[in-house]
Amino acid sequence: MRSPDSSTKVKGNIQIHESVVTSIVRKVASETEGVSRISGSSIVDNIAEIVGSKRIQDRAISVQMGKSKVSVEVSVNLIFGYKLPDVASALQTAIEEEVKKLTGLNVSKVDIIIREIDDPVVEEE
Amino acid sequence: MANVNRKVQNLSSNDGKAGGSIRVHESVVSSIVRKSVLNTEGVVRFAGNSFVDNIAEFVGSKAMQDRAISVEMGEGSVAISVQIVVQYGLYIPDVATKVQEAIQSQVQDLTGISVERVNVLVMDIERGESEDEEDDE
Repeated sequence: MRSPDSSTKVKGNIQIHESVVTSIVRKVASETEGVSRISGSSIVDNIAEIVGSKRIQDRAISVQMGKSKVSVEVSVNLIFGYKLPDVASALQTAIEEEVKKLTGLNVSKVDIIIREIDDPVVEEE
Repeated sequence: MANVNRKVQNLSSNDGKAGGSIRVHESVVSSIVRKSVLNTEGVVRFAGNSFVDNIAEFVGSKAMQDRAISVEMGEGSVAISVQIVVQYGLYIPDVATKVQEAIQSQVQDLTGISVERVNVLVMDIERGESEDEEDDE
């Protein structure tokens, strides 16, 4: 847990749990072009999330909340055909920006592990 | 060490009317906290097992949600801690600050008890409307 800087009139701590960062990573990854999915997650993602077993995905996402910095490691599957370094770099940047934007926390590093390459998803009728 | 189990708070009565004490049980503070947090913009719900929480609320039991609310009655003041889930896309520190302010003002206004501190732990963020709104998905 980390406390972002904020001067509040009300005394008390404001803390952000690492699950918040994990959720941000998951959302950013799903929106980054070239990313197929978080490694280990299945295609029935949405159902898993609804019944709370998104923990399976969370093993592929590791968040360390330090004294003043957050570091992230995420294992992803990328889509065949994309240039891997470009996608990974875009993902790093997107994670760092979104975490800063929503939490005010600085991300010291984002380690990306490219676990597998998935075939492009074919739209089902 | 004397273990003072403080579940009630004495309210001072100033006007010298009929004698007797007025005491507020901490569950009253919990209820006020619960309502003011859920009414704060950007708060989706209290942290916890939302599936079970929904059932608990449905059957009228607030026990589940109350674990996300902690009230400590001190000498003439109260310290409050809450664990919440915030709506995705909002700046979290701002929502947390609003929660602190809402809790402090509601509790002080309605009970007269001084709020010494409000700790807010944001446990997760979710896409979703706050509980007041209909979930149209």
